[in-house]
Amino acid sequence: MGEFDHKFDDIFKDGLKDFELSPGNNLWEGIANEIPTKQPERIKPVYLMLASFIFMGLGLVYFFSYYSIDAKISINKKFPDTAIASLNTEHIEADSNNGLNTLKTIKTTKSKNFDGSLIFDDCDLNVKYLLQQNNNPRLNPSQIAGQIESNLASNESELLLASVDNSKAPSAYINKSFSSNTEINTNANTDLKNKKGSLVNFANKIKDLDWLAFVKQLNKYRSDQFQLFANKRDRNSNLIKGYFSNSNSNSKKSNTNTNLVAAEIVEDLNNSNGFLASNDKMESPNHQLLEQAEQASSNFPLLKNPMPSNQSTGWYAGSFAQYQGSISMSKKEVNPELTNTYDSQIYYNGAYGVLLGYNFNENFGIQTEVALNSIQGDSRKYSSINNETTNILIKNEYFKIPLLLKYRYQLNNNSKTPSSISHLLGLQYGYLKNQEQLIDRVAYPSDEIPNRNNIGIVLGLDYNLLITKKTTFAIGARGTFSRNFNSFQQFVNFTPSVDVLFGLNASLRYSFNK
Amino acid sequence: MRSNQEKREFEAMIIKGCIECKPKFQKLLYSTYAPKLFGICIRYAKDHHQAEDILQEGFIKIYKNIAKFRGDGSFEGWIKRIVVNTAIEHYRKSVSMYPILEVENSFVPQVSEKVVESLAAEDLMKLVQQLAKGYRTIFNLYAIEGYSHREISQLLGISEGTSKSQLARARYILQKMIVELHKKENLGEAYGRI
Repeated sequence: MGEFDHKFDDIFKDGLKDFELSPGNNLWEGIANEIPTKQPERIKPVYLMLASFIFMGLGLVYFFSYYSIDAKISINKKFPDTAIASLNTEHIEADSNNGLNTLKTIKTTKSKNFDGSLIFDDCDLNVKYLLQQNNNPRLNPSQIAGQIESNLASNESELLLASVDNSKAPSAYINKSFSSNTEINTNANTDLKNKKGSLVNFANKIKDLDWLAFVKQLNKYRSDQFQLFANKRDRNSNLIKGYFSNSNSNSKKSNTNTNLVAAEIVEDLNNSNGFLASNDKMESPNHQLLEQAEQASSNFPLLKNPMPSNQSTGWYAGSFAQYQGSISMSKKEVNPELTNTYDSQIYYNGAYGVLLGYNFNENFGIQTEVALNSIQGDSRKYSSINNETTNILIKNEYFKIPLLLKYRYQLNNNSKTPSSISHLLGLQYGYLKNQEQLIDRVAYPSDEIPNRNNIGIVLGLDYNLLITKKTTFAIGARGTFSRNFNSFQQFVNFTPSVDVLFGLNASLRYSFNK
Repeated sequence: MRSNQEKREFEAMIIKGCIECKPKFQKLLYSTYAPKLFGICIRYAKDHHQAEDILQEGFIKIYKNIAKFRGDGSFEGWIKRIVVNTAIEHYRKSVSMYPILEVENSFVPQVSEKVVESLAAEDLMKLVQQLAKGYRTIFNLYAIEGYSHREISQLLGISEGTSKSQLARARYILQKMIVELHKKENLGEAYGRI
């Protein structure tokens, strides 16, 4: 360019660069009608991320605190005969100052369903050994406690407790007698289905049990299923714990036999061999029989903890937070003479939203979500022919609604916190709410968006933990392959692109089913 | 006259008020910057009416996006860029394809620097407005805004070569118009003397 051209341009630049002219008087009114008069302050992404981490952190704290129930069990030092046990979130106090057969009402702080009575006999020993003994691989005492609690958490369970010595049990509560052998005969007169809080008593052979917890639960065939827990001391003062089970009955009036099917020594003064407690071999060490019992117990409903039915079917809703990364897979560039190469880069941000779902049965369900702040970034680094680089970031803020089919299966039936895995597959519609273009970090608004639609396929995997009977905490991963139709043309022309998004999410869900 | 510190504080106050959508500050922003921005719009527009359209759109974008201003650079520079980009959008809406016109090499009008310098800002503005919109846009971007040909090519989606050739053509037309204007003025003076 010649010197004259320079000077020529400069004359125009000096004359016009700061040229000012007042627009028409009515222009402001036109502008004032178009601009927002009140706009909520945008929540900064860092706060959203912070909130999502707090949310996930609280979930983990809740999760681990749930598993720490054993540590809350203690013997009251001031009153040695009093044991304090916290099972899950319940605080239970019992004392045995009066020795055997002391009847003590459980004090509960949270559960409204726990309306039975509990007898702790010789509780400073029993509770201690039953609940603090953790080194027995065959039967973790906390499993028993947890099993009782989790069964009680179901609306379809009730706790029935028995005193050892029926002669001292309040007669008003006695509505059932056991036969002289270890069978519990439930005939037509002893149908326990609708008799909450009933006490049962024991006959001769099992009356030396220290205490017994008797849980009645409707099984999936809608018939009664009894689970019993008991411990006792044998003649050598070894503490023995027992599992009882009954055979299921589909008929209310048919007999149901409940048998002691397994027992083992908790506090073994002489040896570490276990017992199988059959009717006649209750106190005979027999390792082989114990192994058989263990094998039998794999089918034993005592240690099964199915997902409560209120989580299996029906509506649920919740909220989620997701940390996600997105990248554009399109490599087409409309204006090749500008650049010779560019690199797509991953853009990270946090999203949040709400979800609503319906479980048809234990395995299948549907779920929809509304992601309110899902920003997909198209981050590109251009290298020009002159090796100069330009960074362009297109931030697309979407309102996304996926519709997902869900298949789930349970992982650990034996745990106090049933967990499951959900596989998700579905379609997603995204609506582009806002787009921002940053060219070398300078933001430009873009109002001209030819097409705001985004259609995609979603794949997902969730790990669900039942933390209360109606609340589930889930962590999971999502992948989305979507077609972005909004070809933006303000500064650089792009074609519609295929975008990939992957994210890690955490959610809290509440089941509405009673 | 405000000092730089006072100016920054004044801008920060306006920005905060506009982010909170307070009408008082929205009006203050308009009254402070409208004449400057309209001066830009009029350079890119063919007439007042079109310039007002560009200014209105530009201001609406500024208000809607003012929360995105990060304070990295000058606020005035940021709003000017938005208005320039709005003017470019207007231009791009009206032109589906860029006409590739060759520069006429046969004649370069001889206009003295002194003659050009003698022109008032209003005269310069009239001359620029008389350019065809393609030439006007590129001349504005290069000569007055200070964009490079590479940046112009990115903004307008044309090649650098096209940007250069259209700039040369714009200069040629401006010089030609100045020569003709000068001739008319000389004739007028001559008639006046008679």
